[in-house]
Amino acid sequence: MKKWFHIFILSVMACLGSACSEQTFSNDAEGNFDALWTILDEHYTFFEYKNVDWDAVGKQYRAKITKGINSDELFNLCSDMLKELKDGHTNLINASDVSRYWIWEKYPINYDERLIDEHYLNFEYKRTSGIKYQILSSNIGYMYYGDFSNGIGEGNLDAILAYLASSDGLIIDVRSNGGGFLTNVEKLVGRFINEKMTVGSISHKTGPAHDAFSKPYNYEFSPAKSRQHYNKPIVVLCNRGSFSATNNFVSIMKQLPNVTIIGDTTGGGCGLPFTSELPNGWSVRFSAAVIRDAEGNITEFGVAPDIKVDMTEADRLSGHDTILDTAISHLLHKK
Amino acid sequence: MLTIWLCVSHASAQATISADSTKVTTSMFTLDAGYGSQRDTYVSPIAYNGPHFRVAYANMCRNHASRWCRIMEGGVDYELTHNPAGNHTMHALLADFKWAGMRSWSNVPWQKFAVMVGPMAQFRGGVLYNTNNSNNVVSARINVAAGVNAMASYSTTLWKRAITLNYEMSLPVLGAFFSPEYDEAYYEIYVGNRKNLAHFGWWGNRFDITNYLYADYAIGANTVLRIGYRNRVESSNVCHITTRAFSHSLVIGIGCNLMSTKKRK
Repeated sequence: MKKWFHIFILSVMACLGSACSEQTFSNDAEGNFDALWTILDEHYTFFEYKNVDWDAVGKQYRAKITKGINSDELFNLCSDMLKELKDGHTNLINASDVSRYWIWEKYPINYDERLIDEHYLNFEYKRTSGIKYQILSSNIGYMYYGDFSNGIGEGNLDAILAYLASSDGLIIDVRSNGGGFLTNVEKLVGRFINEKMTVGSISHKTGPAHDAFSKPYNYEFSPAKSRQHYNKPIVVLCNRGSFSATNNFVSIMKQLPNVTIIGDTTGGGCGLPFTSELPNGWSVRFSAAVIRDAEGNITEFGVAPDIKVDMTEADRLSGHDTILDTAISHLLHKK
Repeated sequence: MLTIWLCVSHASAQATISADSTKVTTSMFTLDAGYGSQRDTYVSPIAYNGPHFRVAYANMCRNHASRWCRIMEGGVDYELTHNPAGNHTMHALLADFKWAGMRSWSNVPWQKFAVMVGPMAQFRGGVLYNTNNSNNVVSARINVAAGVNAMASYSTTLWKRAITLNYEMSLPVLGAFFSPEYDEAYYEIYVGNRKNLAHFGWWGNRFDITNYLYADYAIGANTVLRIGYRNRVESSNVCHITTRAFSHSLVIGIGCNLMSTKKRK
């Protein structure tokens, strides 16, 4: 009886012990800074890959907190600390601003929507599910998808691909597409594959330690059954603004034998972002899991194109998109 | 209204029955309103607080020829919570079902004062939805457990009408529950990684207790008004994910005692 009583007491203590092991941070400058640093310390996924000494970074920036620091100054200080991670998925968000490390802002834009609308589509294009599409005069199909957050209907995709079926090749333009839902990537890729294929792997943090990761899980995409497919040569256009889910889309399409990637290196962002918050209500977004490509590569800093092309200013002024022209030539050459 | 109608119609049928063995079934619809708190480190390290509501149906069946009674209760909880800064919202929607069989430990079953204890099985599931988040926007909850249900009951009269004061405690002991791993996104589960999602639950990693104090006051021949207080505490700690939730609610309910008799041969 005494033995069972002891077991009962130990069980209750274990319960209460787990209830007491909570970290709390005060809602002042130091408390919010420490909360931010700790969230990243326990959840951020690329410390080792990017060789970031987070302890040293924390000490460096915490020393800059001065007595009487105001909210804007604290926000800027915390933002600067997050930029050390060089991660477009890592943002600090308050009511007035979003801190960011958006690498594409420092590279050529390599995309001009108006130029394409005017000189290639003659303002006569179709549009559904956030996808703009048309068959160009060279009988090359063109579709522009600018945001993977826009839901794609299966029926809409059927209509788009049926319309483009008579073309000799297809250009899928995802330049300046900042990402969105990975489920839309699966939906779109399903129209260009004919058998189930491994498209990458996912690995997540399993605990607060910097090296605590799950074994990468290989995941597969299946072809869309009984739906309109497109199996002719395809070119995917990308630039540095092709980020996150778009980066994932490009890395998957690059594996397909009939697909060529043309343009600039993508913006990267292969971390799966989670969101957390500080005691003062500021939100922080960060990469919490890693999506690798099918060969096991981390594409955090982008997917290199098969054919690297930048838009030239001379072409742009004469109404030409150098990257799109390269894609058209490439597909016509494959006819 | 349906409950009241059932009570009244059934009460008229009871008057002519002479019984050897009487079974009393108490059916009750209740509405809880109070205050709740949710902390789930999968979605946020910060505790969210706000109003708590619950609608429930409970059914308690006692057989006067036996020392055993049976309780079934199903309900839905909803909490609209906010972080302390007041700029983020989290919704909690959870449904539960409980079955308990309890034995009376009084010398004479169902006398004025009764203490009942017995086994209990419980299912509870639902979702927390943080409107601010990205890939950790929801935290799903699924829990099945077996444990103990205990009740102390005291019957007396107030203003010449029967009143029963009750305290009921539900304490799951062992079970199984769902949790993703530390920073595992639901997208990863969606694409097929279903490893390590079900966890054996015991007091070392999951604790859950409901305290329910209420008075049933007879306002008609068989119609009962319930007024009470319910408190629920839930916590878990698995895969470095900590959850804490509690609620305090005032309970108001309306129900009836339905009696049926069986003549012994």
